[in-house]
Amino acid sequence: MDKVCGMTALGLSAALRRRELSAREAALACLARMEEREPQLHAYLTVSRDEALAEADAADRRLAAGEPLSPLDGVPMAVKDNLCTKGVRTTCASRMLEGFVPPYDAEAVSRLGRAGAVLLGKTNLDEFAMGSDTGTSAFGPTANPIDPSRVPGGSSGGSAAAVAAGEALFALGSDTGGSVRQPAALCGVVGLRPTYGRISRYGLVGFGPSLDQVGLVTKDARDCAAVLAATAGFDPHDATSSRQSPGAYLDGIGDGVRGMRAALVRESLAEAEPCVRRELLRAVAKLESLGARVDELSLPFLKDMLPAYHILGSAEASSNLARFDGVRYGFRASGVSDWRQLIRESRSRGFGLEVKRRILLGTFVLTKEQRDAYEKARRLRRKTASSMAAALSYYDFLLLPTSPEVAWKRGEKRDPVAMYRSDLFVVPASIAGLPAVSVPFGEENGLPVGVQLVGRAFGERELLRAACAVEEGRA
Amino acid sequence: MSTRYETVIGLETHIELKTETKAFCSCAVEFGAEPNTHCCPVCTGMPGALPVLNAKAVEFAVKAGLLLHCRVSLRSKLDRKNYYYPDLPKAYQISQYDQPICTGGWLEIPSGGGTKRIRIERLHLEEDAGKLIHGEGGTLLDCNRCGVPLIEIVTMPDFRSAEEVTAYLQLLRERIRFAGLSDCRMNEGSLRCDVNLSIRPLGSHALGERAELKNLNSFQFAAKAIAYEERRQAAVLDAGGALFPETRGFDEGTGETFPMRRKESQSDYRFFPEPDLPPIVLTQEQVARWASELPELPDVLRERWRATYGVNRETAEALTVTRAAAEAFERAAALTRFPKLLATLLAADPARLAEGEIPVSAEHLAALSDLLGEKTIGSGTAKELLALLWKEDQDPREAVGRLGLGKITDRAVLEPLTREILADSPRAAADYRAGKKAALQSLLGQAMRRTQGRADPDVTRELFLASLQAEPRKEE
Amino acid sequence: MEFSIKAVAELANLRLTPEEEEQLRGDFEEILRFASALQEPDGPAHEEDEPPFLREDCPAASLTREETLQNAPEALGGCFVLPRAIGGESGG
Repeated sequence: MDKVCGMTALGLSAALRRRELSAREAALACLARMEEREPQLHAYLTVSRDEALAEADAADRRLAAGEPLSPLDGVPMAVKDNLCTKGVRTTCASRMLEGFVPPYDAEAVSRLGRAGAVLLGKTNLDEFAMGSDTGTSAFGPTANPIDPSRVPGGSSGGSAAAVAAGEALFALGSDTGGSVRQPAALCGVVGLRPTYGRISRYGLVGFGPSLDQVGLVTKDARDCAAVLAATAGFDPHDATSSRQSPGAYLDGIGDGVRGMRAALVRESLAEAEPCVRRELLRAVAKLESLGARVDELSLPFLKDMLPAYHILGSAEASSNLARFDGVRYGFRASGVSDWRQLIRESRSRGFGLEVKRRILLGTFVLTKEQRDAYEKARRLRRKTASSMAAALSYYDFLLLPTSPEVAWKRGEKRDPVAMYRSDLFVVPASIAGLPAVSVPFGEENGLPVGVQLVGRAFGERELLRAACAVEEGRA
Repeated sequence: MSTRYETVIGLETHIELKTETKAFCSCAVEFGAEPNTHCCPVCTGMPGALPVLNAKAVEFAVKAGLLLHCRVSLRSKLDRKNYYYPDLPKAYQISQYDQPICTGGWLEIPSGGGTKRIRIERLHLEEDAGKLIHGEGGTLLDCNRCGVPLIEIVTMPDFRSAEEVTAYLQLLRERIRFAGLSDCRMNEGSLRCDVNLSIRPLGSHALGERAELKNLNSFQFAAKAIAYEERRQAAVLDAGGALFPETRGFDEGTGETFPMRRKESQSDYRFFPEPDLPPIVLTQEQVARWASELPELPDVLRERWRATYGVNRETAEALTVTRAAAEAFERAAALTRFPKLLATLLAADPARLAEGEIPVSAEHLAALSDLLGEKTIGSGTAKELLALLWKEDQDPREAVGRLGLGKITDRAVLEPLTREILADSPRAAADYRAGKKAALQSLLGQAMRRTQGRADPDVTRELFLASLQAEPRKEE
Repeated sequence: MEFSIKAVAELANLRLTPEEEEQLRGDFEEILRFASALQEPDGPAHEEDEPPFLREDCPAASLTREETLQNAPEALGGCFVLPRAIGGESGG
């Protein structure tokens, strides 16, 4: 078990092809690890053991015949519970969807299915992905595998915890405003938010369609490249997915950063905790020693992006979550006599507080009276996105912390400024639709620190090459 | 209505586009199907499903705009119109708010002795809602219609009477239907119109408070609702009362309008750009191509057929029921020496013409009308043959020969027949000789009956006359 | 700042307790403060005018009726069921 659970996805893939172990053994190892750790972690909301073993057996037959579907054939994975899985309940960690069984697969899930990856189960999240510590889940929080008294980050906290704990070899998450990168940083794994449109959003129960992206949680940059290769690409069911062909993400991933130009975002140093600042600067030194040039760059509008993000994200959420009305699926309040009451009561009882708060905020900024706030945020978004794209026409990537702090204790009272700051560095890439990856780099008292690289639109190949160099230089 | 007021009307017309599939998903569009059998995650608003715009819906919306002389926006966008109603699965309708696909057109309608131009403010693309079936214990929801593409056409307040409204709707329906963009069936809801009506004192230029009349399911009901509403508003003002903006329904039983709900000032749809769909971007070339694909207008065709073939208005209207029918006639008319006969023949069965594609080739239609014009067959036979060709297209000349349907002109065949008839009907013969010339008609009628209409009437008549005059009989 | 949380809750179809209303008032005020402090950077915003992806008008299989209704809280005669709906606004 320990052997499998400690492997990377590509490491396991090689072992499977050499028939050193079977896909079934790999799945069983992860399931055994779950039995051991889940009571404490609660990374999963649903474990589909029987289906997983059947899929693993099918993979073994292909591997035995020497006809694996892809490098991920037979590799066990976890999927965030806001990505639809046909026949497997998809709850979004909400009472609203407690018994919801989708009749269809999310495109990213079906692509991984076609690649032969084995779905172990569905992971915990903040309700409807609204939160940063996997604490708003209606089914209870997830703990950080490195220190279970601490949060795993969020909203893809279940996916990050599962991968960090060896309960899956990789996982899908979603990233609207940092929801994959931040938990990856707090759990010490790699988290990629691809360019907006790189992976189909079809079947992702997102809340902010112009910001949502399917994200990846992996053990290292190479695995990330392999999973991206399996999931990226145009999908005729998502009009916002890009028709640009995906890159050969693994090709030359180990070629290093010599000659690359990076920009350290100056404002991020002041806003980060000392330990995070220290590791970031160490990463800069490492990149320079590997032959990259690192300049400092000022992004003065960095702080304005956060309220803009909240306004736009909430506005879209208020509309996207309006469909949950207790009519066609989901929670239905009992004891109501007319449809208006049915809708109001189903929504009021089915949604948790944070979700209601964002829906109301979003409704508020879209009303005629408050329209200015929304329009202003839209304009700011367009302009900051242009500025970042302009910076990236010269620099290969921008360097920022992922989270300004390491994982905090669950229930610890945090000052409002810290709460506010926690999304500060992850939101810019979301707002601009740019790819960004969080890579573990250093630690503080055993707790991992993540550094974030933001790349050019559809430049995931170069971005992951740089991430790989950071990773290899981190020792 | 009091003659002291003038009625001011604007129309909002919703038309379901005749695409194969829905606006944002690949579910087939079919009227009257079993409930919830044309549904998918997208049109039932399931979590995670995303809309993808139907190219045909865009094309049809633009073509409709071109028919109404609109400006086509090369860049338009889709927006979400947010409101709750159980027939709207996503709780928002994908529509177009501030950048509609077409703006600023017009339609010229007959009015008084001349014509009047009704200005079109905008035409935009949106999706239809589902169907609610209200029953005793509750309401049932059928999502088959959810997501069917619609265009909404909004006019300026240019109408002054119910007649103008009816004329506009008829012309609009004919053009849209003729171009194949919609069936425009009011009874099936594929054409629906809301009437915005206000009145004002004659001579005034300010607009009064308007009522929005909804659920008008036929042109007739629209006219009745307008007439009622004019009287009601006048009565309120005459009594010194005040009108306020409101939505009113129409009761088909009583012919009256009734308040549905006060149009609340706080109803706020919170429109914002649909983030799941990129803007609609068209090129000048694309729009030009679509314009070139539009058929000639039916009124233009009718006028040409009148001038060149002498086809009367009623017949021409039957032939312009669909573009397919009109085009089939145009092609065949060019090949026959008797285009007017062909028009009458085709127009005799308007229901069949309206069905869709015309399954008979132009050559065969032309040949058929030539047979009729040459008097090889009579009009009854021509109709039978057309029905036959409709079932299975074939050369009517061969069919006439094979089935022995041609006129009987052979005297050797007809002479014994007339003798036989005269022998069987001594009474008619005697009447004729006694000066009752009408008796000849009854003899001819018998000859037609006995030959299933194939006896050549001229030859038969001649033979009867010869016998009657040559062989006078004594009365018995 | 004048606004009605009740009206917003009405639009969002949510029922709020008085405490929630109070808490939200603070949130709303804060977001308005943020918004008024937003600094709009200079320079043009770029608009992309790439032709969007449009779907061909070809029917594909729909869900079966069972699949469409499988998550319905209540279904009858192949339809979703809800308490009697009359009044308000119909779509379209």
